[in-house]
Amino acid sequence: MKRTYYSIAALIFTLSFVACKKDFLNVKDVPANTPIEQLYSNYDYIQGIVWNAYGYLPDGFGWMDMEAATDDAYHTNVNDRSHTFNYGVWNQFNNPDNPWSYYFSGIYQTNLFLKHRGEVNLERYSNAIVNKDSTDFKKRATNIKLMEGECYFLKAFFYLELVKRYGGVPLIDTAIDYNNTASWQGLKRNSVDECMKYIVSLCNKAAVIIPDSVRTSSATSWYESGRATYGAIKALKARALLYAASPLFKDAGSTATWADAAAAANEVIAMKVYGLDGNYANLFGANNATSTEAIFFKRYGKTNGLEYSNFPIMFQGSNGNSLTPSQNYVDEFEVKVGSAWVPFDWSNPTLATNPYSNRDPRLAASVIYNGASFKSNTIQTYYGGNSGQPKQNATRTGYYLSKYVNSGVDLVNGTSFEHQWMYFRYGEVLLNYAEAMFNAYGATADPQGYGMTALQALNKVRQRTGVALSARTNLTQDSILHERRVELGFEGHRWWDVRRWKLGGQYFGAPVRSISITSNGGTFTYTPAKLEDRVYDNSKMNWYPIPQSEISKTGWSQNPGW
Amino acid sequence: MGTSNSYYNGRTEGPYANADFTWEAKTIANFGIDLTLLNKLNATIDLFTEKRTGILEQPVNVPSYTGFSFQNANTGEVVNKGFEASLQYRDKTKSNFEYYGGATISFARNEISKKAENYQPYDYLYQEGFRIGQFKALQSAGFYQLSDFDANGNLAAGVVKSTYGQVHPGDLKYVDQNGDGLINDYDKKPMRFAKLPEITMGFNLGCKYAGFDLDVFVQDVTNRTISLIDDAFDYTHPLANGNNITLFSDNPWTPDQAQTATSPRLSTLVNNNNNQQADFWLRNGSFFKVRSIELGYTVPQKGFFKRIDALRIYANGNNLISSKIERLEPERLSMGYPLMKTITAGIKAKF
Repeated sequence: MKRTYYSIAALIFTLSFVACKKDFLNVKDVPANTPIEQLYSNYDYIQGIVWNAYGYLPDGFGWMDMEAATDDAYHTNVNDRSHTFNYGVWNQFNNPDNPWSYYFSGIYQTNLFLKHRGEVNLERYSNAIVNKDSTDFKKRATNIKLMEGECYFLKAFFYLELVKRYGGVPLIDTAIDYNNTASWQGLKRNSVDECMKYIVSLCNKAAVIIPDSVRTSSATSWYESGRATYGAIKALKARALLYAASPLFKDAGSTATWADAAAAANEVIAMKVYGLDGNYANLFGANNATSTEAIFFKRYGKTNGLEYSNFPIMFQGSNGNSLTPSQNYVDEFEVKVGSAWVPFDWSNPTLATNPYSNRDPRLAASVIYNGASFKSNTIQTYYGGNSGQPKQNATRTGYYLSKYVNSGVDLVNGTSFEHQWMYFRYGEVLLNYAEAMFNAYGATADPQGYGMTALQALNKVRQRTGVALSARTNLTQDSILHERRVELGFEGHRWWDVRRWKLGGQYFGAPVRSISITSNGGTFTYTPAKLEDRVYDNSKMNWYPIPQSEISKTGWSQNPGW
Repeated sequence: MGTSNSYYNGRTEGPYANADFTWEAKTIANFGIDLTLLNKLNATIDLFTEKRTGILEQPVNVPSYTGFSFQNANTGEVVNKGFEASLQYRDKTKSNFEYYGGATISFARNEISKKAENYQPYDYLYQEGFRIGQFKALQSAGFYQLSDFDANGNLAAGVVKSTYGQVHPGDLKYVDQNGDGLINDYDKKPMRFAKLPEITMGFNLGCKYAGFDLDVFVQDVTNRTISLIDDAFDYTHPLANGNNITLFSDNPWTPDQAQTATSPRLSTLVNNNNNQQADFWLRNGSFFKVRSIELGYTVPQKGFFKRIDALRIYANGNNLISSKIERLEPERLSMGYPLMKTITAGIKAKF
């Protein structure tokens, strides 16, 4: 008995020495699936870097709710971020529109391509040339070259998004390396002037690389629609210089002039490629990518999120997340009295009884008002109507959004349509041109011989087919701002146009109005009413505050007033 | 050109690696006493202080303009202090009445001693320096009353404004901690405890006599706070989003009940002002539960039962008695599946 006991003990004793592996607690270095060198030497992978950079372009439809932070709209969802702006409670700790990290990540991505583009290895394509047919190899080599231009364009786009919000930001020209702390530590904010000059220089570099025939020439017809084109680069440059010449940027030290902005806008016009679409509503429909007015856009594929949010509440499935145009916006549209187009006036009793007849046709294309027909139904936004208060989630302004909202969508069956967001279109370029020419040379002067005066450019937009307002005979800055508001409403311009002219206190600080409609059997009584007060502090809100987390890591001084 | 879209996938470099990636480390100092007295009393007492270092977290000291992304770094630290004690007393009287009783108590308090956090404007907004899961809540100041509003329905001057939504009479009113006239996340101060209890106690009593045996186990937990917003949202927020109404809202704010109301005004619309973490919704999470009672009888081996080695009849109940928080079961506060009470009766026979 004792012997078995000892031998069992001895067996257990030896086993305990054999069983343990000593190093299982040590941390091991495991190489990643795709090493960095392979990422840049492989053609498909490095093209993936550029596709990733495209992904950082702003989500236009996602940004539409910021229109409710302007005097153009009110957002029905009380949790929407626009209300933070409307209460005036946004600051460096709490800023719902804060893409600082987002765009710098995009810039980092473009810099990665620009730094490593020489490392791509096309040998396997050059070795695969058969029968002297080198089209595939040439396509790839050309594509790499064009991608460099695309990256300059994207970088300029991202920088403009940053500068128009925050003012001067650090300019990062070459890719920085974490292991080389001198390249990224302690960077200072560059001045607004340096930033705008850099954006323009990037656009110029990109324009040299991507030819204006890139989509039409047979040599590069494989260049996909949706990638940067020469027109897009020039349109970006025109917008950047227009902003740089505006009073807010001038006050911050920008040296760009209105003449520079006019020249840049003219470069797009002189291409003679774009024209105004004959149907204004077509610009926001499912086929807008093929319009002659479209310069640069983002394709979303088949979606219906915008429709679920913005369809009038009478349609089952409409979820009340709607961006509703305000009375301030509707009042901006002109009305035809006799044969002349005049600003709308509520004190005129004839106009006040039928406020929506004979209005600028762009109103019907942008806004659904009481009595309008939508999806074969008459929309009633009066109190007690099929889409009005007091129904839950009904519009509080009396209007619904129509621009970009595709009425063909069936909410119950969940059908969807193509949506493309226009980043640049020819209508904006003409208005940029008109504003720049007017402020540089006056309404009717054309000293540089561009072939169009400010007045002519503005009238081209006013008198486009299907809109046909009367031509203006003289211009003021207000009339230009008015034309921008009605033409480019809900396309993400209002927020920037008012701030760069330092008119925020006048427009964004004033109360937002709605329309109060009472139904008298067949007729209606319309009374504009105040919806809510807005808060806007002109002394500081024209520039966004730099996020406080960044200030505490860098020690920069904050934008004034914040 | 048509309308068919092709999707292209993007690629990017991964986050920068952390070359010093390693395990979390725990350093603990424990002082314990085990003692037995008079062969009847057993006591074990442990005092400990423990420090955990190398907790993985995202680094926050690199500015975002670099566009860098990182893997986690081993920079977090937590300190945990407490004690555990257990006492057992077992005795038998001359008439063969056995009885025993015992108690265990454990207490642990932790504190995050190092955490990588972004800059906050006020000290109380950090997580470092407070316990893990510490509730940070607004302090309530009653309800907005009719007198707080002017004739147009807007807040009168001097009345604190809420940034969470449009407020109306009957909505919750809060104290403005930083004096800026606004109620926002900067007014959320650390309050009370966390959901994890600091003190857990268990009591065990039993006796045996003449074949009968009784065993009772009771659990008590204190230094715990629960939030009705986190755990009983549907119970306390009636009517909005198609919700039902419960007894919690049987005394809502109305102009007639303005001074005695116990819950905000009823509305079918969502009002984020009433959904914020606030001490209005925090409750003392302590509870007391009788976990199990068992009563049994061992049949003596006489007569017919001599052939059976052992025969025991017993009845057992689990979760029989429990204290309540706001009429809800205190551990899960669920309006759905309740905590199960079971009563089992049985016979155990060994042949």
